[in-house]
Amino acid sequence: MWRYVLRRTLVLIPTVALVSFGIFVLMRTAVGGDPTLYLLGHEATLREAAQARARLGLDRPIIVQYAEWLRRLGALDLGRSFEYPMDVGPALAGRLPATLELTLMATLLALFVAVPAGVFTAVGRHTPLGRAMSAATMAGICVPNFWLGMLLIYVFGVKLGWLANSAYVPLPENWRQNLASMALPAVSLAAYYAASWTRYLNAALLGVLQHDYVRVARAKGLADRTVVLKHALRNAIIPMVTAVGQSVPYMLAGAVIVEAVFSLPGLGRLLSDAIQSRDYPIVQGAVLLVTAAVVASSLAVDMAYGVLDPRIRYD
Amino acid sequence: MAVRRLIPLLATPSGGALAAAVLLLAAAAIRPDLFSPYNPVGIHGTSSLEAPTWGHVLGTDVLGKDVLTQILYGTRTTLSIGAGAVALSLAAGTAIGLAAGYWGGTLLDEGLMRLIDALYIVPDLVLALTIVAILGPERIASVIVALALGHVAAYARLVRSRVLAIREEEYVTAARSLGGSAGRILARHVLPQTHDILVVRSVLALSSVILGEAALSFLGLGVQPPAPSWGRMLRDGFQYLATAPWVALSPGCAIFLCVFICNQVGEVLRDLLDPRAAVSARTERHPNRARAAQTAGTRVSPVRR
Repeated sequence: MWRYVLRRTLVLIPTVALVSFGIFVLMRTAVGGDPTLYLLGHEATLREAAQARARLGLDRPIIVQYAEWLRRLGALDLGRSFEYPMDVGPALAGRLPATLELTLMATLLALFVAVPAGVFTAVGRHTPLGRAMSAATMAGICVPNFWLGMLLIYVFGVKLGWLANSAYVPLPENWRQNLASMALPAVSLAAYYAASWTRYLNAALLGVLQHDYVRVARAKGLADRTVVLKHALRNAIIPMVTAVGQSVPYMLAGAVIVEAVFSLPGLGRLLSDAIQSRDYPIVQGAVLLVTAAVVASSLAVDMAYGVLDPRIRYD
Repeated sequence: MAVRRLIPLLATPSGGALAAAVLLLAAAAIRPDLFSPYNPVGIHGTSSLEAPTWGHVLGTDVLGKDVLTQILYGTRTTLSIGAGAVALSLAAGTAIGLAAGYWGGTLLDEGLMRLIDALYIVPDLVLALTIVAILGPERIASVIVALALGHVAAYARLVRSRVLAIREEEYVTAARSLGGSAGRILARHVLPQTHDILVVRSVLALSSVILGEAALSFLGLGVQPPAPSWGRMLRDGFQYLATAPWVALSPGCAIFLCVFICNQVGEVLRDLLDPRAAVSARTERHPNRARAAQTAGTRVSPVRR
């Protein structure tokens, strides 16, 4: 299996390189892409702007700049931010915990809802509650996460006044307050995935329940509960692992906007701010980190198959 | 035919309601002035942030503009950006998918698929943000391109996998042996076989583009004023959430309804165009009949195409 992982990783390196090169070139050739405009303001003279460009190394050919960036990347140096007096690596590392916590909490929350709800909407699909839950999942996949976040702020913050003290605090500092500040963002990010994964599991389970081995299990007199939870669910969960793995890029994108709504100091906010102020090194580093996370999650899904379904082998 | 099966669907209450909702949405996008007496850029409230009254059903915003009018005029912005982005990604993705599939296994296929992989691994909103910033958010075209890029990969993969199967069919071999050029074979024999998946995919892509446009505008990188935009209304209303919740909450309802309608239409179309999904949906509605038919070795109400 490790040989398989290694091979997949090697295949993905050119893809990630293509992404970083594309963004590198596009940002530097863009119409409004000159960062000195943002750094120095509109009063700067042409001479000052040229000096700033030389200082940032932007006066060299793009290929040379990219080669330099790659060379530094080899030494795990992502460069220095144009806007802030800090290196990109520590800047990203400082913002990573909030985003990681947000996406992890949202994933767990969504799974916590989706697995029982998926089973129930499949088994109890002809009951009124099952129908109501199916309708709720339909609504769940249509709600924009930032609007849901606003609704939550309105209900819990404005109406109920529960959010008086909910500014973000890092987890090691005060875990109670941290969880309190992350709860609503996690709910707004999780809602879509809870609904979408419920539908996914529902469809998978309905498919599996029609198989002969389920009929055999029923025929030997097993309780419905055992048939569904032990025989059907284990097989239905495999395609759902794909759905969860494929959701990672979208979840990271969702984090960008949820962080903006709840003013969380996460990677997404850093990225959207850096894009607007043309802070190339930060954008470059953040996109690299995000794509690496996407690639890692797709690998993790592949490996999870082997654990869940012993029939799947890697050569 | 799909059209013949569409008519009885429209006669059901839910089908009729969906059709009415689609028509209303289209009407609001084409002629918003029919639904609102106010000028979308004019200021007409007696005061700013006026609570909903009969004169202003959804209240007014901070500049004293009628919220409902803004939403109605925003429908056009949202739907035209959505349609533009879907059309662009459909065209680009289909072209890439056709080429990669038809010449599957060659260096061209390999190169195109690496490009598609690269587009795929960047989260769509991150990609859209970067592209909009690069092209400049002042022009609506850059918002359309930015949102379209995120969907090219899905179309290309979908079309490629379908083409890989079709190109082995005998009629394609026949067309090739008769001297048909690649362009002719693709256009006449391959492309028409992909329309069912593309139609369903496009309606679902539309809902995702609508959400993406709202998100971009919410972050301040979408459609710029004075063009009305639901996402920007949310952004502007957010700061008055405590005092005037209607400003931010009503455009959100509009986005929600629009996405909901798109998703429902997508499901109806999938049932109509994808016979396998239609069969499973039918047997699902009559579980006992389906089981009885299964044991008897026949299919319930075979779908005619």
